[in-house]
Amino acid sequence: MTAERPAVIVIEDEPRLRRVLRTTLETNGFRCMESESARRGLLDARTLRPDLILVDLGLPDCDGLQVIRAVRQWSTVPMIVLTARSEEPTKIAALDAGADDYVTKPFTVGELLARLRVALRRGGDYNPSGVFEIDTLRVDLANRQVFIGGQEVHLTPIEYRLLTVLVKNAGRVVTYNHLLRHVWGPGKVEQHDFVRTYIADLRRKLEADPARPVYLLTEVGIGYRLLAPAMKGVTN
Amino acid sequence: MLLIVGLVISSLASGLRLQAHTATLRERRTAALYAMARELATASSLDDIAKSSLSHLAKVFDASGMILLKRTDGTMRSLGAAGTAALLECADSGIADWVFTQQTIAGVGTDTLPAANAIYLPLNGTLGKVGVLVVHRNNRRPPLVSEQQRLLEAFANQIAVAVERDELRRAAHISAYAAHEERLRSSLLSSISHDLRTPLAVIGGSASSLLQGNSQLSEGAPRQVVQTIHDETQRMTRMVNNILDMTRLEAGPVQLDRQSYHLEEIVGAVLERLKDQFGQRAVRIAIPRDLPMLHVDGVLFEKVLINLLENAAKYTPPHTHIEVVASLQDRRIEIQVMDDGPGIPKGSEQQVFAKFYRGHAEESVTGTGLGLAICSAIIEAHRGRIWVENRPEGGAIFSLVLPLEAACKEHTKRVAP
Repeated sequence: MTAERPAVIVIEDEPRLRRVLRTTLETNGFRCMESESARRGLLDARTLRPDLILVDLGLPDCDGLQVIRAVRQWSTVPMIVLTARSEEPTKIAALDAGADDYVTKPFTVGELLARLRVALRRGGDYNPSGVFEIDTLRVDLANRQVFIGGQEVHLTPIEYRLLTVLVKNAGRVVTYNHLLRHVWGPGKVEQHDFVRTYIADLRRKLEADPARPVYLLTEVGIGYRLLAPAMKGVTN
Repeated sequence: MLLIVGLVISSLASGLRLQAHTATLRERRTAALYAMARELATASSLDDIAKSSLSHLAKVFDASGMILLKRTDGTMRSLGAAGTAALLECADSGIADWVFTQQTIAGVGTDTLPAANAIYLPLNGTLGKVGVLVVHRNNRRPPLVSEQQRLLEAFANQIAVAVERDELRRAAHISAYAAHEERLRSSLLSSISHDLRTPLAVIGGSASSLLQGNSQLSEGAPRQVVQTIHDETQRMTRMVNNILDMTRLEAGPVQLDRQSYHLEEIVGAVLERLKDQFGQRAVRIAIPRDLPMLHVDGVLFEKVLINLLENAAKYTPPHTHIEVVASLQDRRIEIQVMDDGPGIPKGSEQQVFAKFYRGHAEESVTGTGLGLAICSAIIEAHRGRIWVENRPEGGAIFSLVLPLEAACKEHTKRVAP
């Protein structure tokens, strides 16, 4: 990452949207580079070595999904997808192809910046001693302990593993399939209700009101997102 | 003398017998014609018409028949299945065409083309020519006598009228459907133009006041103007999304991606999404811990709850209490969204689910009148039921039930257009 101003490539064919994104990014401490097509974007991604790529899924020359797959062949650069609403399968496909997160159009600046911050801090929001902390929730990865308001909460091994996968991706949406793979192993893929049941249990232990979760947020049809410090200050 | 009298009497008697016989025959044929006419009157499709007329033809004339209808492109198409293949071979399309244009009977036993192996009768309705009836008599029976031929012509007339009636009925149906579509379209257009132009006007006006420079704007006003632009944009986005949802739901069979969800989780996601809209309204949730998981399309079901709760927030004054209550009843899950606001206008309990329905009292509230229609389409796709009633103590209750077993077995279901 460049010292102060992270460089973002915006791969988007709609010039007006590019203009808005450029203004937003530049007034919020990013450098912005524009690519108006998938081909151009792939080229720029190689030559300009950005810190983050913002890619529209509906590009005229080729599917945004292909851009994600192509970039992932040689780079781990964070990628955020711009999508239209009601396209859950596409969102999931993009995330499975290697995108870090998505922003649904039309999005608010707060939302976009939160996603960018989270994606740029990839690798965990926990401090060097392995402690993740947000509001009253404290997860001590080194000692395998979880606290709510200073009170230790006892989790089953699966609940704990589920929580650690979310902690390691704090602030990012984590798909059902990702959780299944990393908690249960490759055999359980597609059994999404498995995840939902364990998340419900986890919420009963961590959330003051499980019906109004504060930490374990739901993205219906896609997966879960653990509240992260970088998400604070987002207005919907 | 006696002989003469005897001869006269016997000849008179035989004349009478003949007359009596003819009368019986005529009566029988009239009865046959009447029977067919009666059946044709109740025929509801061209296939029905073909089936009943050809079976009567077979009974009365011991003949197999084929109805040829003129297509709009000028070619003939055959109607009627029984023995058609065999008949098609002997029916001459050249003769049929000639009979159709000349409107003259032809074929066996007639003056025109008597060598042909079938009889060709023009089918002539009250409004014009519709086709040709081809009659092929079985077992090389003697040609029809003129009386029989007249009866056959009467049959042909009946068939022609029935075919014509069917065509008229279909045309009427199509035009009624078109009129209905047209009403929907114009209703959509007026709804869109009104509901989208208002926020557009606000956004445009606000933006231009910012562009003109802030000489006339007081301290803090620009921020308010920008807030207005933002709010109106969100409102417009919701409307466009609703229109898109409705279009998608109506475009064809809805593919449900059914999975098991905890109701609590979906409600939680919806409340998080709508928290800005609730303002000071208190939302109470009562979902039993042991409620079975819902087997639904999560994304679509979330839309239902979003629309119901958004409505509860939109159409009630601040400080209203909103409740989401769920229960398991007789292998069905019942979910209720209730408020203690003004309730819905009496008598409009059904209408509120119709597309573009907007109550008079709601004119101050922006919307497309699609939210509840979307809910209803989604719940129907899940084989459930949704309805609304007013609470005796004031306020509205939107209830929906989802069957448990059906929910687990059925994976996709069509939504009625």
